[in-house]
Amino acid sequence: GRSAHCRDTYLEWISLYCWTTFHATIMATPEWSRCQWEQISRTYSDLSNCTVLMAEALSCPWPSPALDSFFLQIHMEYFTNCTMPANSQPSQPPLGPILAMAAMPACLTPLLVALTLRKAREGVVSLGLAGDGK
Amino acid sequence: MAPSLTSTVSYTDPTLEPVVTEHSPVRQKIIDSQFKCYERMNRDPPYRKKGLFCNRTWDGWLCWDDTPAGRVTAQNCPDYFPDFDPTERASKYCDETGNWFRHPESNRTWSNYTLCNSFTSEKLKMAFILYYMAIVGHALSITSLLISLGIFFYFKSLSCQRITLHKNLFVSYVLNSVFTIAHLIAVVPNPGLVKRDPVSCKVLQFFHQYMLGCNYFWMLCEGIYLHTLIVVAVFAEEQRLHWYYLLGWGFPLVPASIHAVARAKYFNDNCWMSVDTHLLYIVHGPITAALLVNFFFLLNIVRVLVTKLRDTHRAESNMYMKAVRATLILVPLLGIQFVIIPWRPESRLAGEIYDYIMHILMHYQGLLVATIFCFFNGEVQGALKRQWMQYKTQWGQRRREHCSTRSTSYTATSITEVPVYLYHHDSTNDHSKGFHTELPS
Repeated sequence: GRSAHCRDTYLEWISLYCWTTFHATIMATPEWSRCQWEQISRTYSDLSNCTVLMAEALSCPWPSPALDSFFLQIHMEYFTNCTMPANSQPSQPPLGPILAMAAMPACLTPLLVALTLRKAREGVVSLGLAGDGK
Repeated sequence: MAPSLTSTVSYTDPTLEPVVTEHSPVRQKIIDSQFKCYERMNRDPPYRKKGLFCNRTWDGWLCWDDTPAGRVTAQNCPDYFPDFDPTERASKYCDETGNWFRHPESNRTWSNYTLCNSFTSEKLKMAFILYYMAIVGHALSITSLLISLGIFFYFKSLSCQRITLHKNLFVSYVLNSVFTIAHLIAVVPNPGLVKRDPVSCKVLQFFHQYMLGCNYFWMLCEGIYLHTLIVVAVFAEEQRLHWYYLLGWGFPLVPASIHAVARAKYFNDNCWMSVDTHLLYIVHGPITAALLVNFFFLLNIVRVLVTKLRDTHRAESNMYMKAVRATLILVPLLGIQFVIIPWRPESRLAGEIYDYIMHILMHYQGLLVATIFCFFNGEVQGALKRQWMQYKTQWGQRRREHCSTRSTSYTATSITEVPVYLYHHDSTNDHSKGFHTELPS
């Protein structure tokens, strides 16, 4: 039926037309640069565009579970040894050091307050109690 | 059939627009996300729980994990398009049969991105209003604080140790407002600068955090001074202020420096603008501690004034109550923003009201401090009235000297004013200044 058409025929077409170009381009790049996102992003983008065109040509939805399985295969074959591209957003640091760093000045505060109180009291005592304000 | 962005029932269809040959930044972002999604789908462990589930998938814009059947899963909207709000949530429904929800019209799998762009224009309008409110608030604060400082420095009769502490507090608020306005005008509307990420904007943030600490620690110094004055030493006037200066100006360097180092090491985002990090607790923790300590001091002072001194020093304890009252009003007002910050209401209207209140509490603080400590102070009002009367009589005399051809009625009026002033008894004096009774001179 239609779903089989959009699964099997679709996979056939993209393997035949899109994957071959992708494979050729990837093999043409030096091996050390195959994991660098800046080098391969153009090729990857072209592959993705090609799958969109094929889906359009076959009147199939994009994306689809067939597409997912295709790309999973691509990633398994070409990118398993790569580390993930760097995140744009810095990740949250470990909680332990943060708590320690936050707790330290927060606990110092009452200590410093007590010290200030005591020094102020000593100052008053040394100057002598002035009695009531007039 | 080209996929479209919106369907007739205004459901946003997340299939991509027709293929473009030039690689726009939006498409690049989407391709980035696609790559990361498939990498994640590859590396994540397979679904282990029992029961039906929908398989992990890429829907064209966002990555969705394995989801149990009958569940709606949600995540934050992407920021690909200018009208998409990353604080709103996009959702996807996995039905009971273990398949992702299909849109009834197109019969394609469909994720709900409608919330991402439905409120954006209103939110943008409100963000602009809040932005201008903040700038106006800080400008008003600087003006009122500078006027108050002028008053305190001009009227030598007012000066005493408590006023010296006020002056330091006001200076720290002025500097805080200056740094905030610099940040709001130079950094916030300037994405180019944020992208370049120069060291100067991080230095600005460091001083901003330092000044924030100084504000609250000088309020703490006010509380400690009152406490020493009333509870410890019983109305002794002269104290050594060196330790107050150390606590007010020196100690806030510690949390600000630790925050700067930790930020540079662990969360070095551009210009340190993000508030989405727990590292900010390094600065807010000591501030909250200072507020709590201050609050307990003030409660203790009130307790002492009400119970112990009521019988022996009734007149003085009334005077001190008025002095403490100002600080007692200010500390909760300044502190409440830290207490209610985690509890932003969910509903739209309540959330907006909350934002307005928080903005007023945060950005009009300088104005509030200047008003309560200076403009509402009876001593200050008395000094200003006397000065005004002096100017009026001097001006009246000068006019009489220069304009001798004026009508007699005017002259009579200015003459009769002088005796009224001489007999004017300033009984509304607050005596909160140096706790010396001030007789009208």
